[in-house]
Amino acid sequence: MTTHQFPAALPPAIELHGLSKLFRGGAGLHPLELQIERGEIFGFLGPNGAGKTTTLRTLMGFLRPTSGSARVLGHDVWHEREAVHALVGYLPGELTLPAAETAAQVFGEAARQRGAAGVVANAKMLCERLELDPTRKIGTLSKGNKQKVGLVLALMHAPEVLLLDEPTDGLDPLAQDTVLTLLQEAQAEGRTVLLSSHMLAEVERVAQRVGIVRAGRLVRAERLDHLIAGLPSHLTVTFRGPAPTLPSESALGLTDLYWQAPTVSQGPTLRATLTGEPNPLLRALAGAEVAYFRLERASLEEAFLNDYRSQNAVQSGQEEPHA
Amino acid sequence: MLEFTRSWLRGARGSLLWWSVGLCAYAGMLWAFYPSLRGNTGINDLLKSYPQSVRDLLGGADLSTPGGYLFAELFSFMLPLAWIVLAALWGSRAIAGDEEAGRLELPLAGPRSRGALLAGRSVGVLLGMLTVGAVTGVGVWLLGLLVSSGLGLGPLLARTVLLALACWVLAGLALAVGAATGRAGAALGASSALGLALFLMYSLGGQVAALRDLRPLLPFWPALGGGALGTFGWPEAARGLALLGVGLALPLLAIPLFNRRDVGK
Repeated sequence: MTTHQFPAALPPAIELHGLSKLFRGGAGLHPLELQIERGEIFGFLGPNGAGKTTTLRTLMGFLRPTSGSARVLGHDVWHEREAVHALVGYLPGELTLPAAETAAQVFGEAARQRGAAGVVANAKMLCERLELDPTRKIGTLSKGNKQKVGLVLALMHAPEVLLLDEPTDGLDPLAQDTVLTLLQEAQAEGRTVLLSSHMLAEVERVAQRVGIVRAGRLVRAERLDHLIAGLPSHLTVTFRGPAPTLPSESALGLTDLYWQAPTVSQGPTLRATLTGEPNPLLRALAGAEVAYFRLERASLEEAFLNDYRSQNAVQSGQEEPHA
Repeated sequence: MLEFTRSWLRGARGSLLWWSVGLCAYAGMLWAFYPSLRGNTGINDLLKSYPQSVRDLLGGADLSTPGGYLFAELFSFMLPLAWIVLAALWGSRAIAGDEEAGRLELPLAGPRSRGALLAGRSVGVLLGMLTVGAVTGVGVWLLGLLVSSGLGLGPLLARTVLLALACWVLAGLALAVGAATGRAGAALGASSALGLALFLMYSLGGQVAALRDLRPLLPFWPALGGGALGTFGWPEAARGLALLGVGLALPLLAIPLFNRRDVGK
């Protein structure tokens, strides 16, 4: 992972202080505190309606904050909208483009608005990398290709900050890979990405930190490697002989433990979820005849889903179901 | 700002073309009937049997002359109504319609202000209305040549452009309401209802004493007030400029409201 050093005087890429945006009926975004440093890829996770898009649209100055403030590279997102837009590339979650125009016409217009040199050449390069034909009318393009048009519009002026709402939505795996590579390249140049996504695998691949938003509240924001280190692992141990006597589950850091009966060809199988260091377990197994051993870390997706299920269960007053 | 004007005009090309073609086709149809009425004084005798209010609606024109026939058949009713609808549609779609369709976020994601977008698109709608006015004027004149109408291009063009400017004021209102509220339905309703009410006031003004003095203040007066034999000079040009200014002022006045509200779907 690349770490970027910046002078302390420079403001963070994105800072939210008590930012809220409440709609009629109380839905929306509740006061949010978050800081995203320059050169960081920050994954913004949450289910539909959690408030991810509202956060991005508020950062773009499309929605007026109900309270608090948000700044992008030191500029207030509501009062200095144009200054923010000059520095930001934005991909909306629901992209609607003029069907009768070609992608090249749309890029040309955006380039004239930006007025910076090299924007059109950059758009051409991005089209080549994303394998997008800019001469075709947008109305004739597939969903994935329309998404590529939106991505080129967001990236073509090499913005300092990228606000991307589901950037790989509708893309084939090859194009998804290219987009993630482009984001990593942007980061290598010191630029910042706020990546809102349902695709946890892609967030896991590129993000340094993630924020999990739920019902308009940021319930977790931490480094991805810390989050992953705290994830439980799935344990499977098959023994050759009879099952050994093991210390208590809690001493080994095991939960959800159960034994699978021996078969003709193999001994009993232990299945459990391991949280924390595996050393106590390995020591306990030292004298046993182990035929098969597998310890697999839960994916971010699994952790995310479990997190949500447990919070839903707590909220509805039900007992948390075991996986 | 001009990039918004250019892009709006590019998007409105088809609409502009078909409205112009449609109105010219309608004018062509009218001219095709004209030879049967040329010099026919009987039609005027028939008109005299109508109530004064109906004759006023037809501009009190002599239907046997090319100018009178065109005024009664095209300018007194059909063209104003068509352009009221066109102005309300274009004005309401330019901001609020695009916003409801989710097409406003991309232009607003650039480094230009909301005010620049509103001003740029307003100029686009104005140019669109002027183009439809000019193309219709020239088209009616050219088609009139086929029946030797003898009408001058200048007065005809002046009348269509002034009528387009009268309707542009309604487009300006639709732009303002759309920008202030983000609701295309409200913009369309407000501008078309006001347009129809003003046109009704203008049409009935000849008969209703209370409205008679108001007629010169109505936006349709510069184009239609002179009747079939209207002449066009500096006073009409000044009134045309006033209409242009009022139509531009309305969306500009809405900029603070547009700036203060949430945008997008």
